[in-house]
Amino acid sequence: MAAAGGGGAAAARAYSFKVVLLGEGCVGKTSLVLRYCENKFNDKHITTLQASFLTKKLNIGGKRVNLAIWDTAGQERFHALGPIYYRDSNGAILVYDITDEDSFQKVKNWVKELRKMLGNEICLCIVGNKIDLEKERHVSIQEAESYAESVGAKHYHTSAKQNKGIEELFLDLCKRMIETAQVDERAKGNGSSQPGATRRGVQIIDDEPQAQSGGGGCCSSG
Amino acid sequence: MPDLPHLLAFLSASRDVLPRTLLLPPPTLGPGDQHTDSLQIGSIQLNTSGRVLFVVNKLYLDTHRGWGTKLTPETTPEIAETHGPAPRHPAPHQVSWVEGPLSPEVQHPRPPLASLMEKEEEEEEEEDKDEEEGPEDVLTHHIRALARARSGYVARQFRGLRARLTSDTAGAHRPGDPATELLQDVRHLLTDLQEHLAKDPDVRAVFESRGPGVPQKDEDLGPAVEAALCRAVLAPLKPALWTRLRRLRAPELRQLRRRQLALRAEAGRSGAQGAGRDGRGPAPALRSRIHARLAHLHAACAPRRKVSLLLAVCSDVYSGLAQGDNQEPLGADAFLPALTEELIWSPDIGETQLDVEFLMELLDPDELRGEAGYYLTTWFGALYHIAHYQPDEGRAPQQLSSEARASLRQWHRRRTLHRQSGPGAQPFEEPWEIESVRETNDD
Repeated sequence: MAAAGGGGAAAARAYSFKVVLLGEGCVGKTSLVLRYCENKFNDKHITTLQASFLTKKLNIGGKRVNLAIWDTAGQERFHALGPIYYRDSNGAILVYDITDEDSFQKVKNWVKELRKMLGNEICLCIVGNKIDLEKERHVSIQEAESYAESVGAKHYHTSAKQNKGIEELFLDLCKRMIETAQVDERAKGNGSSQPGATRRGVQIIDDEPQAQSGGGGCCSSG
Repeated sequence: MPDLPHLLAFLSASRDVLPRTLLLPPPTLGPGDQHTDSLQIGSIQLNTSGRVLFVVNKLYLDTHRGWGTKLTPETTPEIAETHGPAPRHPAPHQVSWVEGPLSPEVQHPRPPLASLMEKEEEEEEEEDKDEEEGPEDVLTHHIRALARARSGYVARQFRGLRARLTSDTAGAHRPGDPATELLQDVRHLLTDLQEHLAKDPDVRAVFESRGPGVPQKDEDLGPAVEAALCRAVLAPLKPALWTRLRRLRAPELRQLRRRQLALRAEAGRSGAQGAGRDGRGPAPALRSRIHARLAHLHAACAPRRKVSLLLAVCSDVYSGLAQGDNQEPLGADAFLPALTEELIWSPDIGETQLDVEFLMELLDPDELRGEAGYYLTTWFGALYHIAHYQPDEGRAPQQLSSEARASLRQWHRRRTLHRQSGPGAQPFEEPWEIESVRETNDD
């Protein structure tokens, strides 16, 4: 069916990545991803009122990437549901609000949990959002960046309001996920005959449009 | 039940006399139709109460004129399997299906409450209906005949699963959650049969013989076979499958309903201040619309139709959130609480739980990574949240309990199951795989 083995000529194939969006409520997760996906072109989703699940197609240096971005609810009472969202993810974007120290603490908790549950195979991005409110900053740049480095994550500064740093964040993440997927493919050897066993659902999908694949792509950015 | 007489005519015309099953033109028979013309192949009568149906198989009479009076014709696949005389009815050449504990295959699982549908829904539902219950196509008839044939791959597989669904012991030796195993078997059967049938030249011939205006391109064959399989194979098994799932999940479903009531009670207490849960409830019209959709979701059989109904509910929930001044697209911070709230007030939360589990097991892995998968996950999460609600907020569970992890692990195992090349294939190992499965206490 959809998945083809790893390795081999990568001519007409696309990477399919799942990215989960974690962070406390009100840190701007949704605005961030809405900015990136430009939901207005996105009529393939169940309703234009939704921004919980967004998709984006990319072409990075000739490699085609289909990105599916899973938003999560930031309220503490839903914290226990984390695993059902981040399972199978290739990447996680952990967002905090630079004016809110607690939200940074929350990011640290997520990092701990993700590393414990998924190991080092998931690409982590720690994102300090709302840099347009620099004057009210409560999380020091240095602390955040050195923390990110210490846990093997990359740190980014963004402003959803001013559309700063977002494109770069996602592009970077995609490149890292491609790298991880390639390492995975090589580790599996030449073209495994059991694509179903592909780790964490890093799927290499035939470029042919899948008649049945439900929530396909949407807004393309050639 | 316009299909049943036609189906019976079809069965009686083709069984025992012909070397292979016949393809009949689209159905024209209806209840009460009688065909006395000698060219007709059978006659069907519904008695006045509508409860008893007689089928007279003229071909059978012609062929077995000499001894047919001594034997009752074979009627159902179960009897056919025994190859023995089964003189149960005094009147020869008549078969009667009496109302009562119908065998699953005779039950027709169409939504029973269609007439109670909301007015505003009707238009929309009409088109929904067509997807699943439009005029049955020849492909469905063909596959149904294969499933009920006396022998053959499809019939064997079909009967195998039916036996598994109705026997208490089957599958008990297998590790893991029995309900999940059962659903995996169903998925296995469907994907296996779909693959088998798509390669069958007869099926292709039937597919290509469909009338004008029906898509006949090659890439449509798979979906057409899938849809036909849902009608001809999954639908007859659905009642038994659901009975079994309800029994296997009884403790969990009881707990879910209990917590749902507790949450309702709490919402009632704090409702005056509107502080219970975040988000105002949607307008009453919207809520009853959601309830109607949920009823259709429970009644539907084909996974695709269930998914589209589930997504329609999601869409309704978003509309409810957007009713105010805010027309910005909303993320999970807003959606998950709103969906949870809707489910708290939904009439049959147990059935919703089973539908979500069913879909999670039956959808393709690709779909589970897409929009449908996202929203299914969110429903699963909302239901989990309700089932594990604890009155004192301070004790909100910080970690997914071990039984939830176990269920996640199984869920993953299923994803790779259908592509395994052999019994020795290893399922993907998850960090929580080492966790032992704890018995879930009923509360």
